[in-house]
Amino acid sequence: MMPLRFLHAADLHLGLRITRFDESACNRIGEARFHAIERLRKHALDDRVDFVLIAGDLFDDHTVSHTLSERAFTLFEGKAMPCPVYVIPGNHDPLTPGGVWDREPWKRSQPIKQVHLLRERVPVSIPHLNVTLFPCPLRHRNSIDDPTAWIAQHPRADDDRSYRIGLAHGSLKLLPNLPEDDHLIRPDAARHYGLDYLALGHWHKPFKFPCTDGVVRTVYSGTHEPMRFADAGATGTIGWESFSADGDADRFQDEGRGTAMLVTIDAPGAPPIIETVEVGRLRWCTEERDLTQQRIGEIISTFGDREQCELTILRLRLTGVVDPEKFGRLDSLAEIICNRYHPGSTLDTDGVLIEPSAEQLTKLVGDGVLARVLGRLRTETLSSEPRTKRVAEHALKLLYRMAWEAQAP
Amino acid sequence: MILEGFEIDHWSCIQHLAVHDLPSTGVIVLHGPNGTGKSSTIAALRACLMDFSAQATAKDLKRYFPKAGDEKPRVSVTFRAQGSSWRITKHFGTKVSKLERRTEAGTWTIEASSANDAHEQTRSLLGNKDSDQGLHQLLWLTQAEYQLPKPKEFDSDVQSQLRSVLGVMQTPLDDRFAQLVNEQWARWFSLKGKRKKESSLDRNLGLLAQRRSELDALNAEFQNMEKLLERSGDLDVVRRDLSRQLDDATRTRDALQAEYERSLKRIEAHHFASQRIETAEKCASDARAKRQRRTEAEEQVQAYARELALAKQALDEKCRQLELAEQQLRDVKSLAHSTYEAQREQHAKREAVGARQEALRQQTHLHAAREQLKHAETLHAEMETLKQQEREQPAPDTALLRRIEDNRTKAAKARTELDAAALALTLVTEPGASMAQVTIDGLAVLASSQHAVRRNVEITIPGWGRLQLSRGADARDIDQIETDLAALEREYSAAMAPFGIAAKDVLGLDRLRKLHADHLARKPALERCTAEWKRLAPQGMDPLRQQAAHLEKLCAAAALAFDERLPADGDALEQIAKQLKRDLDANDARLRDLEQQSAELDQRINGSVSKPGPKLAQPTGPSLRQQESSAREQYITLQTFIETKRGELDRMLTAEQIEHEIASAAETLQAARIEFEAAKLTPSEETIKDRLSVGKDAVTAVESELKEADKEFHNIAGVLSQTEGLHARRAALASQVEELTRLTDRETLECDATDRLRCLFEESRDKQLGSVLSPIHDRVLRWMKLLRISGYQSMRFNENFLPESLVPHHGEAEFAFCEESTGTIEQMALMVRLALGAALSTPSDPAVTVLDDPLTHSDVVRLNHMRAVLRSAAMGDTASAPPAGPLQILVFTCHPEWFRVEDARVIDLTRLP
Repeated sequence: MMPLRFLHAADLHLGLRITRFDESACNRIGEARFHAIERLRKHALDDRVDFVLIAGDLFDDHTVSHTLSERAFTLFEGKAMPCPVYVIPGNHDPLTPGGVWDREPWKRSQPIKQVHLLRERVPVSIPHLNVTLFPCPLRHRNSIDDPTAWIAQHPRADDDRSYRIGLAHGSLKLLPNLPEDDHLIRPDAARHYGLDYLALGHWHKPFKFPCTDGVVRTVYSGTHEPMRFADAGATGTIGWESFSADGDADRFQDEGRGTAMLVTIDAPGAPPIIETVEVGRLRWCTEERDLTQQRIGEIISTFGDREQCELTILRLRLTGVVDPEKFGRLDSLAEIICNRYHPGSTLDTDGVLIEPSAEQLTKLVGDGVLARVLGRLRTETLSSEPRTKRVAEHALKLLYRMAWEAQAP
Repeated sequence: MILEGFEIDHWSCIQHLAVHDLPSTGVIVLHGPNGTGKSSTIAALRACLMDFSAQATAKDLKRYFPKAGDEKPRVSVTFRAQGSSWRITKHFGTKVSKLERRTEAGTWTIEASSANDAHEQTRSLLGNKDSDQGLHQLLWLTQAEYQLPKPKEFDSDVQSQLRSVLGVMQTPLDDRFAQLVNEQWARWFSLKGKRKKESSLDRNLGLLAQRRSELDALNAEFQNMEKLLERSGDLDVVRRDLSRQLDDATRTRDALQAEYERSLKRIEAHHFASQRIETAEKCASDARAKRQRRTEAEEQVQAYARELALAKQALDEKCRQLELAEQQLRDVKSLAHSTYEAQREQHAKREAVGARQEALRQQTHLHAAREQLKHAETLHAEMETLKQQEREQPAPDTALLRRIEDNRTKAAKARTELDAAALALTLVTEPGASMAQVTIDGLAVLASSQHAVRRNVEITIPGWGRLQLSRGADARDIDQIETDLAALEREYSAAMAPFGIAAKDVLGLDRLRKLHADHLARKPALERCTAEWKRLAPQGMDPLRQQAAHLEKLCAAAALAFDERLPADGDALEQIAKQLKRDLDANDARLRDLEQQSAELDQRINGSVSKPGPKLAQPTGPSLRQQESSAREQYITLQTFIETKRGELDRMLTAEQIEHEIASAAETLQAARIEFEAAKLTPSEETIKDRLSVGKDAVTAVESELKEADKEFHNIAGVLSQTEGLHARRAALASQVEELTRLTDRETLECDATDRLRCLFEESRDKQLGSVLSPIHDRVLRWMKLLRISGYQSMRFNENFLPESLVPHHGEAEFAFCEESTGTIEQMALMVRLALGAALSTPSDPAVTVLDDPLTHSDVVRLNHMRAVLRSAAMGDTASAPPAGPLQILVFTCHPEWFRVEDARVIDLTRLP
């Protein structure tokens, strides 16, 4: 018997709703998700997989445009796709009347060529392969039902020598305090239902869960293209809207890179060999530098010479204390980040304090009115009223900048 | 620089003026009345010291050249500058100029002798400025100059000097910084400090609000869609549940249907038995009802028969009463007719008597009319006679007569005057002498002893010659009297002519008086006749004649219609007429009585009166005819009822037939009850129909619910299918909103920070200005108190060292310096000038202040106090920091008493040698 090999991806979120960037950056980030599908397709071709599983949330919402849904369909249906693709609706694109699955081209009788939209919770046999798929499509955004529960009606027979693959979208009931309506799936589902592999979607971070026998059969592939800044906390949000009650929880944070799972199973019942493949196009990273501890030139050099910076969305935050002259040099760093890095990259200098030396200060403000203004502003920066403090701090920066300009010949 | 003295020759109105030994500091009052040349003196000083070289040909200089004569202006000024005394002498309009310096020995050495050199060196000594620039701009004031220079026009060198003395107010860096801040600030704010509506920030804020609103709408749409999505999920569950319920209900209904069909024959038999019982009960009930109706009809017929007999009796009684009343009415009408005929004959006789009496009255009238006519004709003839006399003998009225008499009186008086004015000529001839020929006033007269000569007389004495005597040229009175007399005569002649009396008739006036007396005698007779005639014949004689003729015709006609049977005596006729009147009155009363009776009867019979007549009492009940008609109607109605009832009774079944029918129905009912008992249903059979109906209803209800759910499900599908692209639109809009929010937040912060920076800069600059200018400020404020200008707490200066605004006491809003009154501005401006000037003055090199007729807008009280200020300014203040130097203050004025301070040098320009 030939070993079974397939690719497991999930949470493609095509038409991703992001708002924290300008329109151009949003468009390019959205476009990257399609590029990632092309890379997924290339992996399918290179690794000679038998089929591809998409474990829900192919679309970010069921009201995506016709153009977008057709483009996705074409990517999977086109010649470049060497194998069948099995897709189930997730909680972002549930199987609802009038939704994306109810419209062209997805409402056509399946499959046309490669795409198989699994609308019903019934076992599906893959032609020419000894594989039975147990799809668990979602019909609602939220539900207290375990989407895999129906598989219990189809237990593995004693003489069953086929590959039993589950395909579901929901949260493994591993953690306490998970929302009750987050399509909770029993943790031992793979073993309980006699599955060789349970391909899961919903969590954006790759996650492999071993059964009691230590064999990993339950896997979240993670999103195929990153959509958040890793470890950036609330500041890493992009305006994306999760429909889970705890949408900002760690399991919905990606790693700043896009992944899929290449799964190989030598024989039914054998432990699957799971390999994480990187299919994402962009890298999202958040970094912080302290100007007090690191020279500006060094920082400029580091970020200016970084590889593949054009495919990196960088959010660089600077802290520390500098004099006005050095602060002026930050403009060149901002220029590098703006021009060389992927659109949406930013340099945050709000955390930088400008503190001129005594000599600079005398040179900057002289002994006239400006010296008085500076004194007043410094007092106001110590205000307990946040707005006054913020305005004063900004005014102080303006003062240094303008005084600097005023000194120019 | 200070002035030590000056000499001026041939400058404008000044022939020669020399002032020497001016004190180096203090107040110097140079006074003289208007026209003395005070302003010209200052102009000469300005021209000589600073403005013009001797060779200058500027118009401003030329106008000071003397109008008459060839003399050229010469000005020489001695001044102290840079530690030495100097004398500059300029012969304007020539090349002659020289600058001299006093040596320690007191002699003068020439430093420059050419016009240009002397001019330039002098200017150099005084700061290379014109007289309206530099410190002179502050301290050399013309007459009209009561305000301070404008900030932009204030000499920058003086400002620099002040800055070096008082301190730095605003550095060039501050200036550039302020410019940068203001440029940035102007992006968001107008000059008035209000936010610009067209700024990018406000545009973005507007756009943000709009986008937020749009996003809210899209979010609402999205939320609605989400609800639909949730609903569709619920519906899915509901549909599955309803399908299950429908299956259950359908099964139940089918089972009940089978049971129903099994019980159907027994149910039908039960139904028929039940129907038969109902039919039998209905037949028995109908028969009993017929019996009841027949009994009631028979009782009604008997009752109607009794009422009919009573109605017949009543009808007969009413007919008898009606006939009796009609007979009475006929009798009354007959009697009335005969009475009326008798009355008509009496009326005819009465008219004949009346006609006879009238004829007798006409004859009497005719006689009176004839008498009246005759009298009127007599009066008329008399009137005509008197009028004829009036026409034939015209007479003057009283006024005319008096005028003529007055004329005659005046004429007589004129003649008397004329005679009195004439010369009396007396001729006495010697016996034997020949008669002289006398011509008086051109008329030859016979010589006599006495003549009256009016104008001239010529006496020719034969053998002797001629004697001519003439009145002189002043004979005008005689001419006038003659003229008046002639006019009176003409008037008299004209007045007498209408009466046929000649003017020469000496008795004319008496005749005229007689005519007047006759006229007065005729007038009363004529008036009397006329009044009597008008009384008798107010409309003339013809109506009187016509009346007489008419009466004659009437009398003739009455004579033709005369009834021979009546007496011709008026008294007898009167007796007959009275008797006839009494008879007629009696018949009238009788007729009214009969008419009353007739009307009452008519009313009693008919209920109303057929024709208008006497007033009757309102009838109390129906008339006899109505009563008879009513009784007849009741009788006929009862007859109709009784016949109808009898017809109904005839159509009913007989009593025997009805009894038979009742017995038959009872038997049928008994048989049906027995049959019903035999077909009685079980409880299950009794309820099967209802249970089946409930089962069918349940199926229909579930089907309906399922249909509704399907319909809603499809509707939701339709709605959701319309939301394609909503996600992208919402994302794009949210992205725009966030971008705009970031932008506006950033720009708002930038705007607020810039505004704050500018505000702080303004405040700090004010404080800086305050500290730098405090010596000037404090000194001016002290002087303001001296002048009793005490309403202000402080004065705010701008960066040009000039006052900008005034700060009142008690926290009132400050206002611009230029908003004060003209007088106060003049005083305060002078004080600021003196204070600033003093700041640049030193004891070793005091500054000179030249005031040309200053403080013209000030009242006497302020002027009085101003002396103290001038004295203080002239003394300087060494205690202040920096010290205020002394001033040499030259006041040119025509009111020396206003500026004569203690120890001031006072120079009367008119008393100089």
